[in-house]
Parts: sequence; C-alpha cells; structure tokens
Amino acid sequence: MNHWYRNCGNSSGFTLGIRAPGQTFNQCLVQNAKNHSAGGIADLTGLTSVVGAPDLGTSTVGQVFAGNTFTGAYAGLAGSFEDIATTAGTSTPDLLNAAIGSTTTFGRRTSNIMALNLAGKGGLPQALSSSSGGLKSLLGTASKALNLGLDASLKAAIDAGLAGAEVIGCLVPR
Amino acid sequence: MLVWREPRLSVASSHGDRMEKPKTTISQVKSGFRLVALILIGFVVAGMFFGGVMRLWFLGAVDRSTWSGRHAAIVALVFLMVSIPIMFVTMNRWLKVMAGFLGLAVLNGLISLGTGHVLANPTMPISRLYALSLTFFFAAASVLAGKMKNRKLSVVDRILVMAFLFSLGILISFQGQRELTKSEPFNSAYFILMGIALGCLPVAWGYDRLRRRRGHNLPGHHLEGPAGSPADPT
Repeated sequence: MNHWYRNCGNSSGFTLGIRAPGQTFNQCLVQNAKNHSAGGIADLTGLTSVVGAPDLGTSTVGQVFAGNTFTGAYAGLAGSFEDIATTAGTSTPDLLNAAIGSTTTFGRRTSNIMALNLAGKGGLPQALSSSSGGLKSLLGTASKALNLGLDASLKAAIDAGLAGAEVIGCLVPR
Repeated sequence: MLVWREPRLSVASSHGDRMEKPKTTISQVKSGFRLVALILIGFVVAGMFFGGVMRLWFLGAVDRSTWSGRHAAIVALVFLMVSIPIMFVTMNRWLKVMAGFLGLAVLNGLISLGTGHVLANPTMPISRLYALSLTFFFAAASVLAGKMKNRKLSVVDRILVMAFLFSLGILISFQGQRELTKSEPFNSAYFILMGIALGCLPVAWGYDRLRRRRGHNLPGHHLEGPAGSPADPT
C-alpha cells in the first residue's frame, strides 16, 4: 500500500519534504524508492492501493516490471559512481546517435540557427559528419544492445523524473 | 548532400532526413503538456486494468474495512470495463511503451540479481534463482513484444497482448500474496502463469507469420506499416 502521500505534510504546515526527522538522505531515498516508480504511480492514479494489498509498487514481480531503475540501482548499490555510470551508459549511444546528422546552419535549406550559410553552398554542416556512417552504425548497435533493442526511452524518462522528484523531496526535511 | 535535394517519394527513414518546421516555444510547451497528460492518462488506465485484474482474481485478500473494499468486485469490474476497451483500441500507440517497460524490467531483474534484494526494497531479500527466473521471463517477453511493435496489430494480436497483460497482472498479485505470507516463491502456479503469459506472444507472432504466408501482406494491405501509421484504422 502507498501511504507516502499522507506523509507529505506535517501538523505545523505544508511541506514538500519527505525526509523524516533524524533520517539521513540515503535512508530517505531507499525508504521512498518503491513509491517513486511507474508501478507506484499506477497504483496511486489507478486507485489500486485503495482496495487492498498487494499492488504493483510493492510486490516483487511488480517492482521488477514497473520499478524505478534509477532509484533501484541507487538503493541496491548505495549510490556508487560505478552504478551511475552503468545506468547512464544505456542512454549515451542514443544521444550521440541523435546528434549525428543534425543541421547546424542558417538559410533557406536549413532548419536550425547555428551558423550563417546564406549562399547555401557546401551542403548542410552537421554536428557529426554523415561520412561517419560506421560510427553511427556502431552506436546504433550499441544502443540496441544496451537498451535491449527496444524503445525504453519513455520509461527511462519517467524513472528519471520520479528519481529527481524523490531526490528533491529527500533534500527537504518534513 | 545530393540525397537531401532529391525529390522524395517515400517516407523519410530517419530524423536526419526529415525537413521539420522550426517549432515555436509555445508549440513545444503545448507538446510537453500533451505528453504529460497522455502519460498520466496512461497511468490511470494501466492502474485501473492491473487493479481490476488483481482485485477480481483475489477478492479474499481485499481489505474489507473500506467502502471500495466491501464492493471490490463491482469496483474491479468497473475498472476493467473502462480500461480494457481503451487499451484494446489504442494498443498500436502503447505497445512500444510496453516493450520499453519489459526491456527495462530485464535491467531491473539484473539489478535484483546482483544486489540480492527486490529492486528498491533492501528489506525484502530475493533469491538469485527467483531473480534469474524473472529476468529470463521479462527478457523473453521483451524480445517477443519487440517483434510486434513495428507492425500493424490485428484483432488476434490485440486479444493475445491483453491476455499476456491479464496473466502478468494475476502473476504480480499471486506472487505478492505469497510474499505477504512468507511462502516459497516457486510453485506450480508461478510457472503456469508465466507459461501462459509467455505463450500468448509467440502465438501472436506465429499467427502473423501465417497470415503473411497466406498472402495478406500483398501491396496495399499495409501489414508491414509501423504501429500508429496512417494506415492504422485506430
């Protein structure tokens, strides 16, 4: 059951903080990680937690399916830098891949304003040359492998947003 | 460079090939709010679906102290009656997202495997074998769902994907209840539910292959079109 929303304030006034008195930042993150996940939000918005336990946010299979990868990794490995690098590594190839072929000039033949090329000669300058096809292919393969060949960007974005919200919440004491 | 100036008769294959209109700040803000609204609606519908499945299948475990607990069967039926038609009709839109969830579930499974406890709950230990079985389950599901995301879905596909999610919902709730009673996670129901869930997706894949062999993918049928393409009736 998710009761975190009931603990968002105290009797003395409204606060966004979720860190209990005497609780460390890490303890707060670990304690609230399961609530700041896609499963936890689905439980809350779908009112599944109202009618009884267990639910997506607390059961093992539910957590593995819809748990927050970022906070889960932090909770598991106590937030070591090695862990952060592992998680970030899955999104890096996608970001680089998107940068290849992006136009960076200004003129009738372009869309982004980064440099003047009114004559329109020499084609479109690109953030990374199109000739780097091998690199792009390699990055595409790496991206597929690291993202398990699937479009997980939306789930990753939701996880990242919820992890950020949890970090902010744990920075502010109740 | 020459490719860029050639007249294009086909759909652009990548972001780099596309001529996009510059977006104004307002349109980007609107787009962002629309995306957030869609995500929230998606959470509500998914929550209603899984909540409905879990409550309907395990009415005995429902907390009867609240009004919704006392009327759990009606609440569950309403949840399912609202969520299933929405999910069924809009499946072409969210199947890719489901594949992403399954893909990241593999990563979550590996994290649980490495740490020895449930993803974000250090107080809940998980055996390596259990974590490994879940990782394999989600890996297989993600691969099979990935095969479906780039084609137009037939009615059979949609029914089978809903059956997969139905089995997953029951599996989540069933295992959750066993965890509450500190029971051994491995049992025959666990494997049967996983088998049913995983069985649905290969059947959909096989049915699609069969349809193609029968010649339904002739030009004009758009069976190869991506999910959410203009050819998609939904």
